[in-house]
Amino acid sequence: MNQIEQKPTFTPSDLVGSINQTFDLAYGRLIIEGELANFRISKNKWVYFDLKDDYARVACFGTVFQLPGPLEDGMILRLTGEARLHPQFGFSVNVASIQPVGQGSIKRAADLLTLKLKKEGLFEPARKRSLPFAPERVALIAASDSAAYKDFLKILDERWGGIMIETTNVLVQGENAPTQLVRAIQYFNEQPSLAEVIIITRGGGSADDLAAFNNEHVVRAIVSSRIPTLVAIGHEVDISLAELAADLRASTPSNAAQLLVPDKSYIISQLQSMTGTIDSSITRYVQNQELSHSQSFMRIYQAVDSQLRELNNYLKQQGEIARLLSPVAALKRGYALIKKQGRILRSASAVRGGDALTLHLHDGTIDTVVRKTPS
Amino acid sequence: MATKKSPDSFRELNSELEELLIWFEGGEFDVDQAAEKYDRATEIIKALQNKLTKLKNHVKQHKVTFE
Repeated sequence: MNQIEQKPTFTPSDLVGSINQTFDLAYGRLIIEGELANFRISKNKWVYFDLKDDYARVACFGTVFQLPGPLEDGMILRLTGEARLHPQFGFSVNVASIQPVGQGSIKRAADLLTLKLKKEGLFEPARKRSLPFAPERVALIAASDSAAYKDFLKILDERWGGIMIETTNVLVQGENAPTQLVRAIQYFNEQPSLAEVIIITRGGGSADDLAAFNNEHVVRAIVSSRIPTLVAIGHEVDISLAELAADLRASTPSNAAQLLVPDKSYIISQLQSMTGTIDSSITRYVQNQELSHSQSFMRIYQAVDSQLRELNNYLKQQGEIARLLSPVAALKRGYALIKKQGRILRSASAVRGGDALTLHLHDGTIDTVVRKTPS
Repeated sequence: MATKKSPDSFRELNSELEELLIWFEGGEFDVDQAAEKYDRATEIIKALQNKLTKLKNHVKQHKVTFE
């Protein structure tokens, strides 16, 4: 038996199967980093491209759902996948996930995605919803061992407190971060009773570290959230697409807590001031009213007093007139009232000698007889 | 639906007092009516003062305190 006869003989299918098993054993899930070339999408579903360097190129195959966003030739990508020999189409790497790497590629990928999402209107201010004032129930998506997570909770508690916080611990960087972020957002949106706001936060990092927040699936999950979103990623200078898509963006995790709830001590001092204003306004009103009533009473009293004085004066005057006009007053001055047969005598011509007259003086009467009349 | 005003609301009492004031200070003073109107004016002032005292006490009793 020669050496050739000792080697196993494969059918093409067996050989392909055997090679694929060998790939699995040798590499399992592998990572390749290289420059994107010949990128194309077929039937809006299948993605074909090469990853190359100066000396080699590797064909890759995947679906559009695995893309982090729009890509273009020349970008440097880090790809996770499995080496496969296809029975008809030959060797390729089947994509599990793709990430742009390096500042230039990450920025270019983000620019392309920004352009695409902007065209769809996903960042429009008109679609932003307002966050509830001092929410009672908050959903928090973050890495629970991160400083961002702790800072957010610390500031939240200092400013307001008593808030029910539901958290999901997720990876915030790396290959699996986008999927976990999307699932966490979906999880909170599928609850029978919804939180009032979703907070997504992480601390600062390199562009590579923050790449998950420029992932198209993450951005779309934020846009689709039924619950209003507040996203705070990185430091003040970092602005991710996730933040642009959110209903509200905060510059840092601490800032997210500041935007979410007011400062309790400030609110209390405002309430105190308002209460003081109300109290003094009521006191002032009561004092004014009391003064006004007292003045009204005085005016009525004075009006009555003045009217009574006038009446009194009037009556006095009338009395004086009556007194002056009274015949008694004339009698007192020395005049006499003469009556003849009980009737007042008004003319000398009505008197004849011998007539009996009665003289009325102020203190009595005198009966007299006329001796002689004027001629 | 509008609420029916109480016949002795603060506003109504105040405006009745105003009318009495006008009557007393106007030229239609009438001795026969003056005593009755004077009594009504003092009654109204007492009622208004009562209401103000109640308000003051209410504000005192319900003073808000903050932790």
